[in-house]
Amino acid sequence: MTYLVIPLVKIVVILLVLILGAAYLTFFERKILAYIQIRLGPNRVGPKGWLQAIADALKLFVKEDLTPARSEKFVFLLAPVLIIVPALLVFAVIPFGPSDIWRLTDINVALLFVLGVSSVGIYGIILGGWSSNNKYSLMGGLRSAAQLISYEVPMGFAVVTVVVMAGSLSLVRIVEVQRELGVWFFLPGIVALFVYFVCGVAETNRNPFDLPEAESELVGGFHTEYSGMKWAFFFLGEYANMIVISAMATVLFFGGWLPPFPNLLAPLWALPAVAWVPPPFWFLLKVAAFIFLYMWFRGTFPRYRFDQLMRLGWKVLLPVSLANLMVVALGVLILGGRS
Amino acid sequence: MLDWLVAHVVPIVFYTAAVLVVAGAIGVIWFRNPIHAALSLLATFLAVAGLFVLQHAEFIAAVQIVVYAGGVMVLFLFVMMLVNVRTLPREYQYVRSLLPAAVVTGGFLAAVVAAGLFARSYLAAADPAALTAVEGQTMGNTEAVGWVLYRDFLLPFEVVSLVLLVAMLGAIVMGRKDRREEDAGEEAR
Amino acid sequence: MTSHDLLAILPELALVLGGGVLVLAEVFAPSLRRAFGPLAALIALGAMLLRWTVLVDGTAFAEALRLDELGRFVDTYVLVAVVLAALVAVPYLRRTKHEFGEFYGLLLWAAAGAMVMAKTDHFLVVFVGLELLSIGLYVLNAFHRTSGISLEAGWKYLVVGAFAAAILLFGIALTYGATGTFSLAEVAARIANGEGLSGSLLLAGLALILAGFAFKLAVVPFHAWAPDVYQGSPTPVTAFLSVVPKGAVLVVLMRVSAAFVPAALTPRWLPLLAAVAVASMVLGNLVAIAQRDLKRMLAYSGIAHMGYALVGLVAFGRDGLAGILVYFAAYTLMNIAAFAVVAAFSESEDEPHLLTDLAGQGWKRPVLSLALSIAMFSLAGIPPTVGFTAKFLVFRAAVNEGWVWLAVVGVLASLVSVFYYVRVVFYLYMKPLPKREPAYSEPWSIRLVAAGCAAAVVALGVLPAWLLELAEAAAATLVR
Repeated sequence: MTYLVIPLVKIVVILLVLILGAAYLTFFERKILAYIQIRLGPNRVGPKGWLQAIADALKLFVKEDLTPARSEKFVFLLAPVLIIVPALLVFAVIPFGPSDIWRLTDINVALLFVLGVSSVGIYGIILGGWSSNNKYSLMGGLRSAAQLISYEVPMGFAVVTVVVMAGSLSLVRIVEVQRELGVWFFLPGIVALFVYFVCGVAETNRNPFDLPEAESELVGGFHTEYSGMKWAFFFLGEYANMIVISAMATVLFFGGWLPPFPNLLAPLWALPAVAWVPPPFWFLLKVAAFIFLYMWFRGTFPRYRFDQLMRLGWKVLLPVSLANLMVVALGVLILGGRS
Repeated sequence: MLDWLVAHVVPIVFYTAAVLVVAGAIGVIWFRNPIHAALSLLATFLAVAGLFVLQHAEFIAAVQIVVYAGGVMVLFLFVMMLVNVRTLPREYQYVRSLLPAAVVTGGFLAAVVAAGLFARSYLAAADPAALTAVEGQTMGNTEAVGWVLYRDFLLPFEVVSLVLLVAMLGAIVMGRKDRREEDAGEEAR
Repeated sequence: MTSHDLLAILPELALVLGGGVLVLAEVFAPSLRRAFGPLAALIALGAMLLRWTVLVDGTAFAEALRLDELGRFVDTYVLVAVVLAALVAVPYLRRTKHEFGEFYGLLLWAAAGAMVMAKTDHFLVVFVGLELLSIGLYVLNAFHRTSGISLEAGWKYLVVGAFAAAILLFGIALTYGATGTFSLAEVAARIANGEGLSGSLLLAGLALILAGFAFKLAVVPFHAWAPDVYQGSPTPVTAFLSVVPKGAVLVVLMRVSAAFVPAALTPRWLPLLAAVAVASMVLGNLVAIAQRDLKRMLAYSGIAHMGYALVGLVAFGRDGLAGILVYFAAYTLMNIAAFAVVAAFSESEDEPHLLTDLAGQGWKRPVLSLALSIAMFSLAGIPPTVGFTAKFLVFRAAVNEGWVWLAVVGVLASLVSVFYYVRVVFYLYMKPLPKREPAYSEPWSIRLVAAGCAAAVVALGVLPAWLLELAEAAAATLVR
């Protein structure tokens, strides 16, 4: 039975951490935004406001769950599920550490799995927007469909750049290669990292690409009609997707669970004083840095206009990522590529 | 019970996916609401991807999801939502004339499928190892597909890229604004 | 990919890159528009030069391409058609204000598809080559976007073409299921060994492949699209459409037959082809009599001519195949000559190209009229034109192989056809000019094409030896 129990326990742990993490991300986001805007942020619930996230979750649980009378009931219900399930599924292949304990599974096409699963996530938004039977929702859904399709392409090329450098689609192997080469891929793949993260921000509908839910134009965008738990699902999905993008950036470009300078400072990391630090610590640290970047963006940048968004995607990011892919591939070829 | 499930996971997944594929295909023509039909098709795509995974063709499965589920269907939905057709009108007048055609086509298809099933005994079963073999070495399915695609099938691959270019250019030619035609007319004068 | 592979597809590369340059020139150098047509013709000529100077033999691209005399022959004929169609297109596009680089780009790319098809030994390449050719043609058919009938032609060709492609693909899939390979050479080897051969599956696949190709050839019973598409398409496109896809498809059919026929399939395959040939010859010629529109008449004439060509395929053997190849060359020259003149003898592209529009033009515009008359005589198979040579070769091959009745039907059918071909000449020379004289322009490029084709038709009719030698060398690659 152990072959079933252990993965099940891991799944439960991952899900709990994720959901709790997503809930607390909202708290941190509010705090960070508050500091950026020189104010205090939530500080009434619990010591220094630390229980705010729990209070919010409780509020969403007991809130009235409205379903518009003329909506497509089944699709309306399906949409939040479709957004949350792919976001959570991705964590099945993300390696938090070097050994089997720290991950659910290691498959040799993990990267394809991630790309495939996250490409299905669009349906939640587009169907949610459509099924609400509301013009604002529909516009939000259509915008996001166009946006996600557009940015998926350069993002895919950025990821392929890493695959070319690593010579593998397995996320574990990609991290291992970064250790063996002694260089994290963000250095040779700086352009790819840039493209990847910009596209990642767009894929998660975050500022400055949060047009699908631009409140000044579209009320709430695709989730205008959603309330209560269903709305919470969309919310959760957005934050889970942020974690996914950050985790993937960490794995692909920043050496996953590896500590800084794993080879140069190897004696240091072997010291008993630091050796007890589990590898996921480094992983989560890097993920947290990316998520902070997300929030920093939100506090700093104004929103793009829709045509600017499309121009950036198709006329800037796509050619840049393609050219970068060719340059990197040539470099790998010349420097005696790995196979 | 649990052990039995684990031992028979492959046939269970296969039959589930197979039922989903067929049910989704039926749903595509069954639903009057085009969005529902599209969702039904999405279910078929995903289930087909599952079947590919069962056959150890992981790369094809991923392509199936990324391209068809994540790209093509989204564009379909996009167009349908822009047109905003909630239900298709029922059209009785054509149904009767379609019946003989449907019977003949279906009968032919059934005969061909039967011939295919019958012919299976003539052919050696496909070698599953070929799906991951690169020059005799076992590697991943992705490597095997890449190897075959860029060596044995390089020419069709390149021609297909040209086909896509032509199709894209054709769409642009057909869809461009008339302003340029007027410009051309003025220059000709 | 090796340098050998690259050398092998050098002409195709030249076409593809040239097409790209023309499309880009449309954007970056629109002032050069007037030169696009001649440039496209030059590119095609350059490709032809490359084909005959850079001689690569054997196979290329992992045996997907088979470089032989046959491929070279068909390439030449496709490229000649491109040159002629591009020249005919220049005044046409200017008149209809559709003078865009994309037209020539698509023309060159479609031709590249036909050339790939003609040389391949691989079903997948056949399919993608055919798609490249077809998708280019769907757009070219509808290129005259402001004209309803042009859009209708594009639409009809698209629907029928997509349907035919699906059927062809299904047939290829079944053949793959029966033999386990896409390669024609492999198929032939396996059939010869009798291994892995499931009769019913292979037959079903072969029948579907034939049906898919029959759509493209526009032979009975898959011909219904031809008249509308011929009539609606821009005339230079019609000229291209009426020869290039048919030639490419016929070559593939020749290769398929060479791979399949020596087996036990022959007694089922040949009667099927013969039936299609007879139906096409009879129906094409009879219905052509009733046509008042020149382009529709030529469409039905095309159906009949593909019937004649199929007679050569039924006869098979070296003579039959050489006959088909000569037929290609003849059909290209006379058909493009006819369409070039038709393109000139019309005032508006939206209206039907009526037979009565020709009335009295014979003495008014001697060059074009004479060219059209020669083309008509050649299409009818009257000596001393190359049309006669071609028909003679095909029918002789049929008689020698024991298909006497088929040859007799063919000869009778072409006797019927003389009526409507000569009627065109009758209108040209024996009818008076109408009171309101039509204002036809007579551009130099059309005069060049029509006169050149007519001269070639006569020259090759009088001295066919050179063409015949080439065709026999090409046919020898398939049949010893």
